[in-house]
Amino acid sequence: MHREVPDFPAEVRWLLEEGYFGYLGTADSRGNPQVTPVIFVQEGNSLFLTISRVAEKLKNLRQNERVAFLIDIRDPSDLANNRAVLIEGRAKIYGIFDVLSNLRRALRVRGLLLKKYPKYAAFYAAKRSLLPKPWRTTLFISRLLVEVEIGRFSYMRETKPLALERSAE
Amino acid sequence: MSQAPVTAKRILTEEAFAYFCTTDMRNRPHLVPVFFIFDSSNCHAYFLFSRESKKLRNLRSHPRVSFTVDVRDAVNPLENKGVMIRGDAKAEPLDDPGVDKDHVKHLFEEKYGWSSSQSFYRHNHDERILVDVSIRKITCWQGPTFLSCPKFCIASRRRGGVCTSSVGGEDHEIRRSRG
Repeated sequence: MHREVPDFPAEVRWLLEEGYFGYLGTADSRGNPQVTPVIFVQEGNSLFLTISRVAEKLKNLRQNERVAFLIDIRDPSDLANNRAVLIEGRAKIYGIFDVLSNLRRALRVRGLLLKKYPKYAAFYAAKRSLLPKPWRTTLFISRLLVEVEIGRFSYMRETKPLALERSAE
Repeated sequence: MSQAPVTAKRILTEEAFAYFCTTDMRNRPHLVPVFFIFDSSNCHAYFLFSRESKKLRNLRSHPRVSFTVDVRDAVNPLENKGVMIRGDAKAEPLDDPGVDKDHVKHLFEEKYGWSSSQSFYRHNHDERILVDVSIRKITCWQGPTFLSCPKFCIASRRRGGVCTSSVGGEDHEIRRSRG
């Protein structure tokens, strides 16, 4: 069963569903930040992504669960006509037992990733043997599933923040 | 010879948006897309932020910042490339006599085509503050290959520089060839 999240404003829901790349901002325990592009899917009130086991952002998440996640759409013909949503929330790294105890949800997330990124999925399947181990997609061996629970969000358009609220909490 | 310095410099010079990450007093990250200038002559990056913005408040209490500039490819992940910068930020009011605001203004106008008649120092009635990021570390990637380059790789192109390469998570040192 797909969980709907009807309380996001339409502009935000569109970015969550259609945004192709996101940017994950993490910080270590001393507050030193890091930001990298990622691919993601939305499932319920969370975003899901997979992170290489050797990535620095994973080390940061083990020290500090707070994250910022930005999804934006650029307009190449008008740089000011960009739209973005900034998510602030907490990240959870899924271990084997977390996946097993949330198996249906984990499988749903896998299906959403394959559906949203079919070209990437085909690429990874075709080139698997040529890729370095940390870049492969094998869960637990190369990558870990990470959930970002959406706490607060801010919507920005034309480089200005706009006040949008959830219709229901 | 590694192409990382050339690639990184091109991305930092040509791409319009940077994704700028700061942290607040409680180590919570904050992230926004911003316009920026990379000055390869001194390996600094410049930003103009509203005086009341959260990112400016954050960097005043925690000057360590990170920003990423990237080129996306929705078909082939091997063609995704980008540069992540870590550095120390300093907020400088534009009326500070130590700020070469004409130079920075020229760089912004040159990159974004802003006409000189447009307000440069104010935006939506907010005073803008110049943020100068002194770059400490540059990480450059294309597809699965990461290259971490000392800033002189980009700034001066001097021969014999050293890049640290991380391919598949394993670090190697690459000494750039002379001649």
